Amino acid sequence: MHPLIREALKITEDLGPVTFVGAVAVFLHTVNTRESQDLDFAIAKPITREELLDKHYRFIVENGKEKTYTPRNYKIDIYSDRPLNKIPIKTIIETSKDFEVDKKGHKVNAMGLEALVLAKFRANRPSQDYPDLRALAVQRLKQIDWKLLEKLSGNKTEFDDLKNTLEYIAKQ
Amino acid sequence: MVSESGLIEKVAQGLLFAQELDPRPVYSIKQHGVEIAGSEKTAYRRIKSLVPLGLATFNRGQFSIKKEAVSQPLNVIEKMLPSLLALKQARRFGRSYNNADINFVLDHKPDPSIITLDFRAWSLTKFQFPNDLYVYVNDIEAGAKFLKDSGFSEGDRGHVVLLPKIGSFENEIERVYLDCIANGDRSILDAVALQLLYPEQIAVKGRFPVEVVAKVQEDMPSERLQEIAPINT
Repeated sequence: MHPLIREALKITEDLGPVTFVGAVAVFLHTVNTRESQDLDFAIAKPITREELLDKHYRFIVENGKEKTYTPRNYKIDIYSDRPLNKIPIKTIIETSKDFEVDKKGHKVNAMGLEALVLAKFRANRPSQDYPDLRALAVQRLKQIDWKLLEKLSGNKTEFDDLKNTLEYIAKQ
Repeated sequence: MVSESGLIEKVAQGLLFAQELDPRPVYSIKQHGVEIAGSEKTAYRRIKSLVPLGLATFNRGQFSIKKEAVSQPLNVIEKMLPSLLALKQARRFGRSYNNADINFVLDHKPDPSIITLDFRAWSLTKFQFPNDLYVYVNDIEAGAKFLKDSGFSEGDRGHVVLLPKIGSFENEIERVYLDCIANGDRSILDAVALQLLYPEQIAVKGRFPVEVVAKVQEDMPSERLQEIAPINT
């Protein structure tokens, strides 16, 4: 099992239902990733600092910024109230998907394909989001629910642009 | 054979054109290309000039650019030409399409081969998990034959990539760094991590967006950050 997925499974065991966004979601949709050792996830009910400390999560200030680490030393970023690239957390959780990650039936929940491509498109970082968009387009273009994607976007121009982009990069 | 400065001269206008484009995964020639180049014909000419170096692709009125590679200063682009040319001639192979392929090649790689990009960057920085095994070989045909004889197929999906040895490998860390910039995408983050961790070994310095450097500093494992601090103070 990929180390990131092993850690995602441990976090799910520690904290209950969480929806992974970013690296873990990309990996689960494409089995392809080059990610740093940080995991981002959305959670419906905000988790307090005390709850995290009880579960041996750590808060460390580095370069003047507080970072949260799991007991296994992976950096995490939790989304519970702020939207992710203008996609409400509620929508991310509602459209998420369970992925079976081993033969014992263990599951990790991650952002749905449509919300993920929309988030990546909106983030628009050449070194991070373009390769993810490419991997998603090459491997999952046929599985995209375009109606859902259009609904999530809520903007016809953005939707057309994203669809056009995914169709182009899938052929490269 | 065209010299490095000759090659730069040939692509200079294309680079200027590409540098002026706002970042997008895909551009329309009519919409975005003409806006910068002035005409469709000129836009095509600029884009086509970048294709031999792997800095652009185009198809049916659309194109894409390796944005962070073309945004480098000319002296960096000149220095990374061997990397660009090698990557343009890269050949990709797969057999099981998983880690077993990589382990096989690591066990059987021909001497004297040199590992670069994902796996070398990982061993130097521990920043991003590696995905593909890029190997410079003296004879790419012989390397390809060996892999095919071992049951590998050539295509787009494999995780083993053979590269022809082009240019200098004397300063290994700098070469990996330049390969990372030339490869673009997530390798740019590896380049930034290398520059942060090995500033003295890298003579030619790339130019990266502030948010990319911040992302690398933020995500670098804490034990590696502690190594950066004394290096940079």
